[in-house]
Amino acid sequence: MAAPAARHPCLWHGATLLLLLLPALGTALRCANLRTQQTTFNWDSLQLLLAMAPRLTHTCAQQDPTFPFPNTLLTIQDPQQATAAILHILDHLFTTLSSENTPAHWDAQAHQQLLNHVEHQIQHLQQCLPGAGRDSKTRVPLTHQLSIATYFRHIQNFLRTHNHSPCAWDSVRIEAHTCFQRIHNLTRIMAD
Amino acid sequence: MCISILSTACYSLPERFVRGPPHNLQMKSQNFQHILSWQAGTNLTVPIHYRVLYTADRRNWNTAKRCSNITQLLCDLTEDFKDVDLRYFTVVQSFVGTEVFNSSLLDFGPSTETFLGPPEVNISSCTNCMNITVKLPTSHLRKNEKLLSLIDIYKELDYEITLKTRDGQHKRPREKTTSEIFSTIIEDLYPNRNYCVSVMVSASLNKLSISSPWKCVTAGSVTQQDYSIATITGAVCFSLMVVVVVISCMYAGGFFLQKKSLPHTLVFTNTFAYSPFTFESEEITFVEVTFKEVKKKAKEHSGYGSDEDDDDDSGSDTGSNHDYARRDIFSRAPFSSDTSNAFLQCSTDSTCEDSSSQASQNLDTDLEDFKEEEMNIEEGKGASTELLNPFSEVNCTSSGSRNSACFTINLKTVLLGTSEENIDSSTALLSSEKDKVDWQDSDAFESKLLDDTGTMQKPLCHNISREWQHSSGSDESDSSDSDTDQKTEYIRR
Repeated sequence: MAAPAARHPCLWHGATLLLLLLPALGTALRCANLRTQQTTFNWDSLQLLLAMAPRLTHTCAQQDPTFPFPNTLLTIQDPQQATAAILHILDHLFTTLSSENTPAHWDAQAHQQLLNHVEHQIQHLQQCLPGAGRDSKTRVPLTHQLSIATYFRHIQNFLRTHNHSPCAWDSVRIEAHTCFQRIHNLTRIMAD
Repeated sequence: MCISILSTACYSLPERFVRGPPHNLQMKSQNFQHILSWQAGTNLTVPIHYRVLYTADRRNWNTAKRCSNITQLLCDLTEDFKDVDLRYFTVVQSFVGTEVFNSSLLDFGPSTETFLGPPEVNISSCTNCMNITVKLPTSHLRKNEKLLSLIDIYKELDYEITLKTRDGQHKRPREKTTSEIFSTIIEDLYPNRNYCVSVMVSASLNKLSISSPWKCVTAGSVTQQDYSIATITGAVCFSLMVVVVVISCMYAGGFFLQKKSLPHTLVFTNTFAYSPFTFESEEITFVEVTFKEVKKKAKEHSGYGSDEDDDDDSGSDTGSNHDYARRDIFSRAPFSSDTSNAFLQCSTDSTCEDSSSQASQNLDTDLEDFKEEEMNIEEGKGASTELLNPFSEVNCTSSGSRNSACFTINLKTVLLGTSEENIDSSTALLSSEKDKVDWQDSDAFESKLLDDTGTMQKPLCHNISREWQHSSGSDESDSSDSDTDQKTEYIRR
């Protein structure tokens, strides 16, 4: 009976170790080729945005929205900071687009698909950046975090000022399109 | 009724004379060449002018360089959208008389909304594979008066190859490239099958692309040709090897390029040389008859030529030369050039004092050399044979002496062989028809010698010498120089 008893502890230890390592292994597999996955996400999001909010056929009164995008984000060279910055931008974008006052002429199905798409990417980035979740501010410098927050606050103020009109939402749609282009520039800095 | 007529006229007027802003703005962009088109909002017959304005920040508006006062319904904005990462807003103004109409705003991002392609594709076939060369399309974007490439703009592009066969289409995995021109090889194709290829290029944030037209090639056609060439080459080489082996075996077996075999009679004689049987033979007198000159035809018959002699074994060279000397005498007997004659030693029973008197007239100049060479031969070989000089003043009186000048020869008992064999061997030379055939190739004198069953007499010698003297020169093809060389060569043997 001594031999079988000796083998069992080894098996238990191996199984325990495997269970502990499985999540890490899964995370490693999911976070592999993160930059490529982010690139695909960016393009798909643009298509969904275009499908959700078609161009207005009528002429909007000339508006003068000023959305000060923090251009300092485009000077980030650190891959980890770039990934964290993308995470913060997507988080704020999701909050803005999930407002209850979205225009009626938007395509509801495309709108929902876009929101699901962005939410999924946010969770993926959170898993690949441990400690960089929604409430974590360790990865991104404070200045960058504040500039991103200010930018989206201006967008929300613009909507409120124009009573969430279709023309106002059209401007927001255009700004969201520009946001994904800036995310694409940050994606190039991400680690492969 | 009047009201109805007026209302109808009023309703129809707007349809006939429409005043409104341009509408249905569309941007068609390909490889950063941007063409804006629209539809007129006014259908008046008066001329309508258009102006296109654009902005990136929606504050500062700029007039398109080529579209400030135009009448056509399209505008090229390629040179105006210089920053590809920005989003541009365009508006079209129409001027109808004094009225100005503004179209709706059109936003457009060059980097994400221009169509890329089609690339230029060239394909070539290889063994079970296909070589595809792709050249990226040129862009219309200029920077500092220099055309930028798509690689300059996007830094990295993706390309996707679609293969089409009779079984269907197959998209290969997407690859990346950073070169304007690049090649890729598709392997593991079925030979002699037609494959069509189409290539599309795209960027990470611009998947709008135009695929190249289908280009088809048959894979593995070169392979088949190579196989046929290889097969033919292999067959030819194998055949040559077989021929070489056969020739080598035949040569080793002595089927060709061999020494002329001995006449049947002589071969038969050789076999009898070792025969346990002994034959009574007549007393034999050793005879050596030498010719002054080695003729070409004689060589052929005797089977000894310059090449053949080289091929002979050294061991048998001496004996064979010795035999050759004797045989050659008989075979070459009738051969003589215009300048030399053959000598014939007569038998001891007859005198040949004047046998070659006529021939000697032509041989004076050669005699000295001939004697000298004979002496060399005797010294070199130590042969027991002796050349009897017909011009010596030896009477044909002594018999049985080897040094006698005149003697009778019984052709039927002539022995051919080595000097040692002549002494010991008692084999008689049997004349046969076959011998006649072998000798008949020579001059008539040869056959005459063999046919003569009797002893050679003086008259015959006379006839023989005369025949030799008058032997046709046509048999001789060698020049005098060559004759001398041949003679020397023969003697040296």
